[in-house]
Amino acid sequence: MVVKVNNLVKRYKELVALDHMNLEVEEGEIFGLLGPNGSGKTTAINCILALLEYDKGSIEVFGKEMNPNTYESKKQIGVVMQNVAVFEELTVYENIDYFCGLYIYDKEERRQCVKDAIAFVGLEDYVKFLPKKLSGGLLRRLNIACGIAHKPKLIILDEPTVAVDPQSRNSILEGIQKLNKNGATIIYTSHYMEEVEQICTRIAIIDKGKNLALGTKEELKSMIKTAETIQLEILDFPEALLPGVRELPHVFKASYDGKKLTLHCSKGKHNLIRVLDYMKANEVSVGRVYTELPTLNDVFLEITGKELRD
Amino acid sequence: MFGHLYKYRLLGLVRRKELIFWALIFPVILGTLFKAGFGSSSSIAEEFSTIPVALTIEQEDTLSTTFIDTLEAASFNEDTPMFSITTVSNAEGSDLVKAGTVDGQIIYGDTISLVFSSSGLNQSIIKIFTDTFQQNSSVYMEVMTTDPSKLSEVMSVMSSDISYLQEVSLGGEKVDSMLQYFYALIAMACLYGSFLGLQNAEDIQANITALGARRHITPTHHMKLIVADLLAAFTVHFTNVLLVCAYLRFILKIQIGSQPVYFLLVCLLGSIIGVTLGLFIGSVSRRSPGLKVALSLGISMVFSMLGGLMFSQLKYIIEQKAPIVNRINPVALVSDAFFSLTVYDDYQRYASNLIILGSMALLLTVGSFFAIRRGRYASL
Repeated sequence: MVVKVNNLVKRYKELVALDHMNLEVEEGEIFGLLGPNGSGKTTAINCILALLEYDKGSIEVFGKEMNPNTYESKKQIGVVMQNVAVFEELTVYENIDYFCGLYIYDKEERRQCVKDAIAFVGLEDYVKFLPKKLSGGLLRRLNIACGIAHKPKLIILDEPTVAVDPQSRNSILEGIQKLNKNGATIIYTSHYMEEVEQICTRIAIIDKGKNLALGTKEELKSMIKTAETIQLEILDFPEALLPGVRELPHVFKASYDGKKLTLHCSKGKHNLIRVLDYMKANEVSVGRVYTELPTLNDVFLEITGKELRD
Repeated sequence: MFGHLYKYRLLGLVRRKELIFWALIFPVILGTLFKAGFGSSSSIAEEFSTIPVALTIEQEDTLSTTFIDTLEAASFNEDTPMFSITTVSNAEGSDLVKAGTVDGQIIYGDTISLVFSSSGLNQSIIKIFTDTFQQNSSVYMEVMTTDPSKLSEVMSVMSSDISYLQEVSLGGEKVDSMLQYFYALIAMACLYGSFLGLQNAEDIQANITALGARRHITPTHHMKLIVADLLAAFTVHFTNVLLVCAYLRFILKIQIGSQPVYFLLVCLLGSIIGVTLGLFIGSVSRRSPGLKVALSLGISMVFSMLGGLMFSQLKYIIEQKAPIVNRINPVALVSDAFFSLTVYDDYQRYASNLIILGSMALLLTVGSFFAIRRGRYASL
């Protein structure tokens, strides 16, 4: 077990930021903490890093109780903060070297680590640049390089793709997977379900400081009733047909918003064919048709009753 | 390891243009403006006004008459007599001194004794005057006994000797009356090290900056980071102050730094007090970074003003009315330490100033350490 969080409670006066949270992160996995802004993801990370005081519970990292003086554990942790945390007046190389030097004291070893980190994030052409001369995406890459240059066993990334363009985002996500393949255990927090779904092997869905669900994405999706969501673009759909749609096999929820008919189906085959047959039989013209398997947003919606992006 | 931390902190501070502006460029500009504004107005006589003294004659003789005549004849220049004399009894004189009506009481008896209620430049002048008279009194006595006709000639020579004291300090330096402004300017430059201290405080606290948080979670001991940052700030700022002094001395030709070792020691302690003041403000205040910069600038300016940067006499007025302010004002202490070297020739006073500065720096540093040493934060 790399990280074990047991019954963690953190209060800010009346506000309960973490409400008896439990987490267990296994070695070698990419563990996702998924939740909306303000759900307690960063608070949990800060507690794990022994930055924040907490009211109750315990945290173990690499089998040791985590506190500010657990230097042996800290040596093996790399952190990429949500906000870019680099020295504005040091160059790309100097920044990475500085932070790497807080973990690795041997000059030769450090030089190689810095070189590797620069290559890893693709900043070879920018080593002499000051951070202010870098674009948002490159700055994020520098932020990551500063956090991982010392080749830690546990890497914690707190929303590393916020305000990053899609191209840089993909590059960052690929990099994280590469770090994992190289042996690092990753804790990845995000409110972007697509990212978490794409890279995480196990996911904890949290809201209001509570761990609502935990498992692989398949396990999480199997926890909910929706197995398929079908959407049909229909102009002038006769409302009188709606009860008939709801009685189709596996359909447990149907709604029409004036342009689009949305059907939620439980497990079963050929749902789309049956729906289209029903429309044909009732002479309803259908425009575009969409069908999708449940997403983590559906999981979140069913568990909390609200959208992940609310 | 420590060298790594120190080197990069040094680099970081040196490259921060706004810090270097306040700590180096601004004092240089101000010094240049001072020099341009004051021009060649460097006669001390233009700066000083008549000194009120109480005179008590306990033993009347020929020499006492000469003493009174010399006292009355002494002047800073043609229009400004050196002393305004009130002849009183011993008790009355003492009351006048206590009330601050006069700057000192001269009691003429077997010997000449002095009574002061505070120390300052005027008191120093009174002391120099009486000391010189006593040194020369044997000459008077001899002239009076051997050739009384030459007494007026000798008195004239003696008066010119006393007049010469207007431009010569106890330390043997030729004193430029504008020097006090430049001393206050160096002291102000020292205090502007507070911006470096402030930066250090921000970059080390996890609840203030993301950078502080990132450094906090590393396996490097917190105290090691604080000390490396602090030493780097001391180095950068001491260099800043030395550059300011070099500019004043070699470019503007201001007569400073004649006792280099002692002079540099004041600069070093001044730099330390500046940095630690900023570190303290940044550590204990929970205000926004902008407000802390404003606070730091404001405190530095107020200390500089009270230390005589804008109006040189203010420091002496404070010395008379509320001397404790000058004992806790770093600008006044630094400036006074310089004066102790070049004007007062008073090493005890110099040492006393340095001890107070050192104690203040220690207090500020300890206070800051207590504020920023914590491991975990209640909120971020």
